[in-house]
Amino acid sequence: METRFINPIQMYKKNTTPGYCYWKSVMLKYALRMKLSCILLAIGFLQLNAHTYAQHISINKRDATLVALFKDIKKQSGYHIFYDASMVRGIRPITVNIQQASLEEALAQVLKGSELSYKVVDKNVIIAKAEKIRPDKSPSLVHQNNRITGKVTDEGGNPLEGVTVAVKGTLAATTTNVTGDYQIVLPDGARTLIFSIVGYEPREATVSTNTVVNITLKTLVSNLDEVVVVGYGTQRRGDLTGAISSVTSQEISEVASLNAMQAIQGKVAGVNVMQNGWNPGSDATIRIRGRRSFNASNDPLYVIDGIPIVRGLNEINPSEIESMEVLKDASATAIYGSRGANGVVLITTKRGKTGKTSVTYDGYVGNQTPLRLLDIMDGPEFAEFVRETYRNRTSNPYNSPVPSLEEDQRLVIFTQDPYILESVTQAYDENGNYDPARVRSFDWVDAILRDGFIQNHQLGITGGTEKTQLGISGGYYGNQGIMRGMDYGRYSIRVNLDHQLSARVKVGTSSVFSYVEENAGSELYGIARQQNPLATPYNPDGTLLLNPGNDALAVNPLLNIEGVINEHRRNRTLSNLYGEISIIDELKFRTNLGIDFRTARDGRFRSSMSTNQNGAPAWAEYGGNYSKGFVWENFLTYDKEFNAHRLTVTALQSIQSDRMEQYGETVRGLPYEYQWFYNVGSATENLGVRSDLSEWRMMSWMGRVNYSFLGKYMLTLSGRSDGSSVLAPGHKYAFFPSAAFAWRLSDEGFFKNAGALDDLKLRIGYGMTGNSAISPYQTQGSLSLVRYSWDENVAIGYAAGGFPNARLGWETTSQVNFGLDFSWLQGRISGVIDVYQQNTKDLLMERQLPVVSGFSSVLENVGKTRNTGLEISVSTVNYESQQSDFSWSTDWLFNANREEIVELYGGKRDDIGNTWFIGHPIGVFYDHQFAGIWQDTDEDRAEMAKYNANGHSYEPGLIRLVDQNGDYRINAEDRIILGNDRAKWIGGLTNRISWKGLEWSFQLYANIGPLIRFDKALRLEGRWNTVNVNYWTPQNKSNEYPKPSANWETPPDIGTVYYQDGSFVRLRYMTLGYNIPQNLVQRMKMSRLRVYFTAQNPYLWTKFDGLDPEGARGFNTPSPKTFMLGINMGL
Amino acid sequence: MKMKTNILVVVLCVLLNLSCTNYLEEKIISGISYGYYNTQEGVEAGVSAVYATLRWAYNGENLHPIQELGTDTYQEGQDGNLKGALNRYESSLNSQFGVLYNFWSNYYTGISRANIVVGSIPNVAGMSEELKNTRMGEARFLRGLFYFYLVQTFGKVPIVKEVDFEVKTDFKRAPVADVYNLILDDVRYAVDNLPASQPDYGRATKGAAQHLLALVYLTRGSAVTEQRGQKATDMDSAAYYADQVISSGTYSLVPDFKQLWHIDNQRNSEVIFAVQFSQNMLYNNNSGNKIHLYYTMVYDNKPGMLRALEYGRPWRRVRPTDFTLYELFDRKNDARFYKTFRTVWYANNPNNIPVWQAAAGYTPPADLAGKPKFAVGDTAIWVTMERIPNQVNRDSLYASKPYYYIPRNRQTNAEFPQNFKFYDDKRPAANDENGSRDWYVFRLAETYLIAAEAYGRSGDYATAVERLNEVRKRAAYKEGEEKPGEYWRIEGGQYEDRFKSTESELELSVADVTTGLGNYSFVDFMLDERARELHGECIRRWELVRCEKLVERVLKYNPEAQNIREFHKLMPIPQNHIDRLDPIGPLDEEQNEGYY
Repeated sequence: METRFINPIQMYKKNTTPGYCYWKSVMLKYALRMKLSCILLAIGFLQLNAHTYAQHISINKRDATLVALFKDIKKQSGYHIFYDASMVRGIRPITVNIQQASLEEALAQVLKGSELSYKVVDKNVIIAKAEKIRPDKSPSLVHQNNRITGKVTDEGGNPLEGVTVAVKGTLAATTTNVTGDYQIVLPDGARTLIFSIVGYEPREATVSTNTVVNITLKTLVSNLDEVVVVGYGTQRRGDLTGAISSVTSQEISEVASLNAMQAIQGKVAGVNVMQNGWNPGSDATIRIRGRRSFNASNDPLYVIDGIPIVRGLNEINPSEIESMEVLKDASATAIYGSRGANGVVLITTKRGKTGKTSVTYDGYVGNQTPLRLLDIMDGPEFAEFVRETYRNRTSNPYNSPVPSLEEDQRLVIFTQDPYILESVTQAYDENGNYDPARVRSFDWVDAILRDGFIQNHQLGITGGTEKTQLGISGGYYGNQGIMRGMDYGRYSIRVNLDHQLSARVKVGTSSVFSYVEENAGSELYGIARQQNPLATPYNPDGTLLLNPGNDALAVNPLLNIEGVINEHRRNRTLSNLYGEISIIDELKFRTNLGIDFRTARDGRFRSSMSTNQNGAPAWAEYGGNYSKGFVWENFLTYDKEFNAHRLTVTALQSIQSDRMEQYGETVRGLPYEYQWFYNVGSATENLGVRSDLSEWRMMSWMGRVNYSFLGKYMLTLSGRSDGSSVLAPGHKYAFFPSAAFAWRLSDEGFFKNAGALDDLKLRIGYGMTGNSAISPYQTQGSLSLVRYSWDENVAIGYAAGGFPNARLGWETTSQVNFGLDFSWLQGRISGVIDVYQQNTKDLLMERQLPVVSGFSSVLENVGKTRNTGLEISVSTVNYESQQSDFSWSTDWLFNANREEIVELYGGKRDDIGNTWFIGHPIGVFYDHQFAGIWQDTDEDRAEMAKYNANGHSYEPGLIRLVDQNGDYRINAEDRIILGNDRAKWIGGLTNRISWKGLEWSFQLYANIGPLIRFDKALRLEGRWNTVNVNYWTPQNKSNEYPKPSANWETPPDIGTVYYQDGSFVRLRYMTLGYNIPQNLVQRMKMSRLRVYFTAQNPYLWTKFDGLDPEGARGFNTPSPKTFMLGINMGL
Repeated sequence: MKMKTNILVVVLCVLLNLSCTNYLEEKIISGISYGYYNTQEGVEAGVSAVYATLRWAYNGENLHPIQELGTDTYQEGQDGNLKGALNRYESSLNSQFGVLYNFWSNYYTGISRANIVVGSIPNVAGMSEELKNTRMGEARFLRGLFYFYLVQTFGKVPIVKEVDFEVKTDFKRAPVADVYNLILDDVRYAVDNLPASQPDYGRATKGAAQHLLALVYLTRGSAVTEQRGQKATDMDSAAYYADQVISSGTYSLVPDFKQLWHIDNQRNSEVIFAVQFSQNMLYNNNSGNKIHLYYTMVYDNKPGMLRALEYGRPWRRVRPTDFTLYELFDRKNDARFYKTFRTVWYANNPNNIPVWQAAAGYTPPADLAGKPKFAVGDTAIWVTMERIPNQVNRDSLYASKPYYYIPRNRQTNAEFPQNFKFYDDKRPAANDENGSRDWYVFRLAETYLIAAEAYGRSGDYATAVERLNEVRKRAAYKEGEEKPGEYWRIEGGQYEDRFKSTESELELSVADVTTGLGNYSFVDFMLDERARELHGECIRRWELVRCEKLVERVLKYNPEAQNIREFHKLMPIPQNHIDRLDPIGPLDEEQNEGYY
């Protein structure tokens, strides 16, 4: 039998921000219906006497169901109502008219005539059959075995105080004490306990024979009272006016990833995460609501624990993150002014809490194998392919339509290497019959791949006293790539500390130190796939030879595994110190000092025996950078509630600087190679020594007002003035204002009766943000070093470099956003819909100039782009049963963004040279359109003749292009816009199913509509191996790929066959987890133990015929599928 | 509480003070900006940067394909993607053809660099007038040279003589005559101000300027139907300035044509102006002279061979036309042929030496069967000018040769006699593309040819022949010099004559360049002589265009280039230039005829 359990809607998280009391505000909201003179008194009174039900409830409904009435009462009182759905089923709708009644009066009226009764415990109302309600017996009077005791803790193992423990179907209830312990007596026949507290998901537990029931409650996410981190402060989700998406640590940890942004692919509407590659340590490109800039960066701004940082997140272990907020529209990002145009990602790391010390360990290990591999020709296929290329050669062709030993012996590519000749000739028997199966073959790709290994270990300790809270953690993330020679390791240590110096002064820090060791290896796939499969990589003595197949340009890729070293080492210390003073209760001053020290070292080595050097002297490079980032922010926050108003004012002043030194030296001719790059001074040849300094600074002022009236009308106004050193004098400052308004429709009278709708909020915002993410010194123009020589003496030259532009200013984006937040059917369906349009103008663009002027381009503020989009994210609880402990929920995500260029420097004129077209996104594919292969038919021959009369040389087997203007001349005018690499829409579907301790979750991610280009490097000239394409031969009248021929280096127009639909749907992960039952866990002296198995990237559905439409569109490292085992442990 | 308030006040004061400093002022520390050009060091660096522009022509497939493909002397080799446009004159030779924009962009960048120093030199304090004049002369010499390259390639081009830092997009093409006037003005200034020699080898000298001036006059004056602003005195001027170089005593021909091209003899008495490349990769800007790649044929996959430094990397971009190989040279007597073309490769790979075996109807003597055909150091490949008669069983013949034998019948666009004047065995490895060989832009032999042509065109054939014979005397085999084996084996010479001089055979009389030519004109003769002497030196298209002979001679000698039309004498103005103009004029004004 189904049991419905109503989710409490009005809840708040524990540890809300200081200075904001949830209880006060909720009570206030309803108290507003009282006379104003009573308000202050009431607040004081309520705070002192939480058990007094000073509610004034008014309900006037005809034929209302009990469920709807409970909802109204809950909404108006803030009390949670627990009941068994079976009890209310069958009760006829009633008509009530309650005016300004107390909670008890209201409940009594509503339940009148039913068999039900109620009991109020703490902040909960428990509904039960009337006969079961009886007074609590004193514990001493009942049998021991009816008395249940236990402890309630949170996920971190901290005791929870004030949890309501009720016996289901009865009015028996109690609450937990400060240590989280409770005891309760079970009435006869009752078996089920209900545990509930605001901010946590309620749980039921069935009591069998044991008398100790320990329970862990999970933090409840996504509800209106959840506290959301916004820039320079926090807000209740319900009060938000901007488009802000929150991500929990759970969502981040569902995917094993290097950084947190990769983990949220397909989980946050409007955030497009595209993996750049699949090497260990590969980063992803993050675009929030599309691209808008040509020259300036399109990367979002990352703010870690309040400190805006530059250069990515790779040093932050995702397990350190408590929550992440993505600010998308201008009203949310405008407080970051000049840096908000590309969206802002706010990251909060895990901090210590007062209470019991908790120790957690989270770890996983996994095995990786390539998800897909390309179909490369093997030996027999390649041999036949070579013959075909020589059959098509004009001079001295291969004179046999079938393999012939005699002709094979004339093919230089076979004869130049005795091994190959043997590989081929052994396929002929003494009668000259050819058996392709006997041709020897070597699988080069297989030889450069291996099984990858991924692991992550994170040990965290949190805890604290009333005055001091501590959160420390240490972690290691390691990934040995599926391509030989590639691996990545990251070590990180975090210390988060908060200390209450006095009643009004608090200080603390968030600091992380990380060290990364990356061996980037070399991209071997592209080299391996082109090797002659008939050749061998080995000398007769088993050592690796340099040029397989005796081809001077084919270098054995297996040599690169040891012979090409690309080693990167990076240190980063990201630290933030803060001090906070409550000047008066409502006014707080906070100062944040953030530092970001980075050092990096890059060592590169190319052995003489490597594809790069191919016998030339060994090459090495050693260099790095040393940089210092610094932010100092000071802000005042005034937070005041009076009458029905709530006002928060924030004022900020900040300065930031970043300084980077770079250095390095490149040499050739190492006297001994085993040194790699550790003694570059010993080399015979200096190819370059360099150092560089670059520095920028910013200075800002910001003010923001948040105002809320009756919790129904919310207004945010903000303005930020930013100055940047990289812009020209007189153009350094700009002001970025924003305004946003939100209206909770569901609180309006006319919505009161709209049955199943719990919450409906409309948001509208408009604001401006900027972008100055260009390199320093561009306004001044610079000279570039060029060298010349007088005989063998150097001549140092300086040539004009950048065009000095003394008018360079900000790129500004104005954005309008309409949003709708809704919750329906007691939260079973909830979601957010946003539509937006961004208009970016004064683009920092390299305007192309006639080079005759002396400069080929100038960085200018010209041009306009636009992004228009729709974002929908919906969460549904598909099924939930407390009784069977089963639940199934789904997160749905859809977003579509359309980028377009509105104006370029020539006004509405396209820039064909850059493939920038008005009305299209940045970076379209503009090319000839593939029309198939010319066939050897009379019809095609007649057509070819017409082209050939105009200077073409088409023949059967060559690529045919669409003659767009029909003039029988294929030239620049016949190019068209074939498409662009932007997704038409992105979708995500995350399912979470749990049954008792078992959890099953998976995510599907869809990226639909991009056109992508897989350059297969089809030379089809019989020298290099290639993807086994369906090439044209007189017998095989392929319409897909042209004929191979030794006449050319590459077939004419081959580039036009490389465009493909890049749509894909990926099963990103599938996880099966098991929470070890609490009693077992406790026996092991732990508070939590979960084990899980995850298959990451196990399936990909796509028409793309390359490795992976995301991150491996060419001959890159294939995307791995990973099978992992993991464990989450808490002490 | 009061104390805390005080602290706050202090903090706020500090913050407010911060805003008063020039916190956002930007200072360049590691870089350098335009003010540098107002110093002597800046001018020196600026002039060096102008020279650096010269290298582009030779550090890739840049000037080479434009000058050599689709001419009378070269047709396409097996590899490369430029041959359709430049050798076959297909429709891809249009305004979007990438190499042309690179050409345009490089030389206008050079002009701009020159304009910057030309503009800044007068403002520099503390620099001697003499040095100022010299650097000014160099800058204007180079600017003149760049405009000369542009006008010969594109015809009408925009004239820009100064750089201002204002965004400018309005450029009109100047008439060809105006461009020539600018060039003459610049180069005359250089002649007047440059010293006869410079302490730094590689800088422009008076001689270089005189040579260029002679060439510019010759070019302008060669116009017959075209309008280049030519004057009646152009040939006199050309002859005059060429003779100035010849008689200066500064230069002399290197006695042996082969020694002229020896990599260890790059700095020799004949060189008037050479683009400098260094063996120090850093000084080469990590690039280098890559011309050695483009002529090389495929030798490295032949039996007994592997890729080697001395033989180079076979990019086979161009292949000599039959005209070059079989008509142009008096191969028997003119030493320049076998000193320009490599025909023999010696075995260098002991792992791949073929053995004597029966094949294609050939049976080796029993004592040879199964034995190696040759040893390392023996001839492995021989390319010859012979044609094997059709009745001979060629496969059998090839099998009977110990070496890989490539007679005329067997030559393909991958295997042919190859120009090896520009070989470079100073590279670090056989596959290294970046060479260090200097590129001779002007050398004395050409000065003689300029003078000869100028005299001849003015009717003074006696002096013309005198100048020509200076060049031809050097071209002949010297007494006592051993001729290559082909002399007596292929070219009809006598074995006993192999040490005899051929000077007399090459010496010309007036009749040889006049009445003796029959239907052949003196201009054609000069083009032939230039093709023999300056073979493959990346100037051929300009020579043909200068003489208005491109289409005629290409149709006659290059079988693959039959698509050529009269308009191909000029290259299309790059679309990248036209697209960036604002306003854009009518297409017939912005673009050359035939390309729109």
